[in-house]
Amino acid sequence: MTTTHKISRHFHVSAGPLRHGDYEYQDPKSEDEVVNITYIDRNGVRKPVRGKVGDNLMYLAHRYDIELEGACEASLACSTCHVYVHNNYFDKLQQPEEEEEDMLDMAVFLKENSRLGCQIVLSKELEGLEVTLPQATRNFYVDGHVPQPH
Amino acid sequence: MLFILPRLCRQHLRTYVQSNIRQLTTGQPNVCIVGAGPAGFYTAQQILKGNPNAVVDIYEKLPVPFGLVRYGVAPDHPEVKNVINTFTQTASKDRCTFIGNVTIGKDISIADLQKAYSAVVLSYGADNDRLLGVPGENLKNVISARSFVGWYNGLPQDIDLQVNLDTDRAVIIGHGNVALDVARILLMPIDLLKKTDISQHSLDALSKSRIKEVTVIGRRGPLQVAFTIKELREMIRLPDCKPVLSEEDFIGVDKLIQDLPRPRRRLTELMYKTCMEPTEKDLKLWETAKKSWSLSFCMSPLEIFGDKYVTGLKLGINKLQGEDLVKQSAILTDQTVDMSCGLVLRSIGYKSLVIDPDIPFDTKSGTIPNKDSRVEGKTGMYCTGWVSTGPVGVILTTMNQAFETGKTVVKDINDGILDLTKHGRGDIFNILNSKGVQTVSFKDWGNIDQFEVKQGEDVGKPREKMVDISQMVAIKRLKHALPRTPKRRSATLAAYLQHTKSPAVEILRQAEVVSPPEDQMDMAIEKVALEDIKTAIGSCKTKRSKDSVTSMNVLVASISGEKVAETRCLKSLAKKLGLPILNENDAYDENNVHVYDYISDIVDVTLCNKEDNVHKISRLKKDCGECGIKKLELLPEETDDLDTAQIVRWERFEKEDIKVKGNKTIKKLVLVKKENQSCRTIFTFFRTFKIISATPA
Repeated sequence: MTTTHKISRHFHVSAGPLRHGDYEYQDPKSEDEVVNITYIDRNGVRKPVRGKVGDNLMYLAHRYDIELEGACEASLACSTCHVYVHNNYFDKLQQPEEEEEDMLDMAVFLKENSRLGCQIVLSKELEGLEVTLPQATRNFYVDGHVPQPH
Repeated sequence: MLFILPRLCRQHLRTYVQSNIRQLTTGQPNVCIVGAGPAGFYTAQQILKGNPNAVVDIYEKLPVPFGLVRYGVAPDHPEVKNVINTFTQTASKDRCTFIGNVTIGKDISIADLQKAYSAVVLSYGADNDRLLGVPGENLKNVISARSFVGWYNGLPQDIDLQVNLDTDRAVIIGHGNVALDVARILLMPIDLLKKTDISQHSLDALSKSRIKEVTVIGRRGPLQVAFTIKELREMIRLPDCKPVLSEEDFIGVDKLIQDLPRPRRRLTELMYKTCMEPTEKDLKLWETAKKSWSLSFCMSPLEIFGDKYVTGLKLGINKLQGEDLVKQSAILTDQTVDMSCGLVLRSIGYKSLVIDPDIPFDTKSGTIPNKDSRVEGKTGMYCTGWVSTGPVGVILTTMNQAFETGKTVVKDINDGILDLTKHGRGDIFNILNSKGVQTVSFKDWGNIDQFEVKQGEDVGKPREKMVDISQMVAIKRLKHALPRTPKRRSATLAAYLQHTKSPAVEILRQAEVVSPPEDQMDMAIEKVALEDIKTAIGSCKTKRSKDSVTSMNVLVASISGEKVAETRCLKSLAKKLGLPILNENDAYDENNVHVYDYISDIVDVTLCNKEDNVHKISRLKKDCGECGIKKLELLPEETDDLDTAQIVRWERFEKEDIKVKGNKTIKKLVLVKKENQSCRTIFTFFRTFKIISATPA
């Protein structure tokens, strides 16, 4: 059974990041693939989601109507899918690329545990992952809001 | 006419029913949005989501949607344009309607919109640019960066911009992302630009550019720049181009930046390292560079020199003042410096315009005064995007704000603040119809989109933008002028497709307005349909500007096979639209089979030309190898032995007398179509006897 999961994951990685979001609309084929995660929306409401290995966190949010945009469709040209990753899991994620860091600089209310949702791909290690959507705000960074240094 | 009336009736009926159904179902919120850029689309998205009954109409001045995503985002940033997919989803919803080619404030007033809609959201952006206000600003080659961006992005109003790139050095004034975008486009290797959706006219101009050096000037220091790190990094890594930063500007900066907020810190660090501690990799990259760009700080232009064209500028040196490092302001000193250059691009910000006197406007900030997107003193009027905040921020900023605006509108609907008895677009469409304004729907945009992508494919670009508004509208208008039933439509176009290779038809075919004719059509229907097109177009052209009338005349002419080259004006327009200019001579195309009118014609053809066009008497002796009936050009239908070939169809241009006003007649070149019975048996007979086949008819 473990083999199946490995194969499917390998397939996903070799195909490069899936950027159209179709994959996320497929249900997990077996329990082994399932990765349970929780989105905490802008009102603080917890939304548990049954994802699967290889799902992109942003597209998965689209499937379950969670208000996470993805303007540039995972091509690292915007920061509309900005999320906070709960600390226990932050270190389990791959280090952000330079492009992601550059885009995070544009994000509103940047924190130490900020990441772009589109760069998070679910794996078994991320079982139980919790991500929080940042507050939408009127005090935009460019309008004078100064994000907290970290 | 018989064929038009039922259609017009149906159209009227539909509008009538639609507007009346709206009337019956009061309580349905009708919202309109002015400006189909990111702010408009994101607001629409939020309203549609927040209220399941809300109907949203998005008005746009241009025939095409997406505003700055299409006309502002640099061509080498295609990934930023992916957001168009989200907007397309929004526009494709049943409750959302895109209405292009309508200028609010001219075609329709804000008062009209307020009468028709429960809520009016203004998201028309910042169309005007700020001026330097220094002497010499009107010299040639002192250009606003906004126009320059429009020029390379194919914005219709900017395509004729006069840009002279036959100079060594360009100066860009301003330290924002637009400044860096413009610098990048000026310095980028042409081979990279070729693969983007940059407009062809700009690509041609840029490929001849002599610019080797671009100086980007800002009035404040390194800690106050407004561009973002992605754009800076791109500039630093630009192939064949070396960044030049002065060490003086960065001495001690490393000690200041540790306490700065992260984005500012990383941005400044990147500049610092590029200047003071470049990596081996960077140095290697810059070693062979033939071009360069530099960032200059603390300078304000005081005067621009030049006779007719700009030759240089005088810059005042500033010093920085203020406690807060990031917010320091620039104070002009007595020192000045002169700099020579052949091109100045002004990139010091945009401001919005007042499009209608009914919109409150703060001329100082160039924005609409508002509180939480609600326009001050106007119930049911909202504003969002750059028109409300000023031209700052990236797409995320606009998105967040537009979402808030959308939520505010939904909240006001739910709270009963808005008047929900408004009937929506029915009345507006009546006004547009009466003014003869041709609107462009989202489906029409789909046609234009497909056409652009197709045009781009041929030259290895993601798309080749259509820059001619009249062409955009022509596609749409022709499409609507065509009969609606697929059979009649294809019959009409088939008629035209068969006898000419006009680019206009090519446009229509690529836009999938017509499918190639598969069925043989009924001649009678075809003829009526052609009339139908003419009448339909004729009816709208009486109400439009001179320009569009001419363009429609050209199109009608090209569709019907009429002669276009009537006046020079028509000729040049036809050229602009890429339509063929029919000459009389064209009617006798070598590739086509001749139609023999008289017996003497046939005789002429079957004789060879000899000695001053006089045929030797020897022909009668049947010894001339070249003469003979075999010289007749025959269609397969005429000679085919199969029984299927009964009728020969033919067509050609003929001059016909056409009656015009005042009982006069004029000669006009028209396409004549006729059919003949096959003369198969005769030719079969000829062939059987070899002697006869060598005999002239």
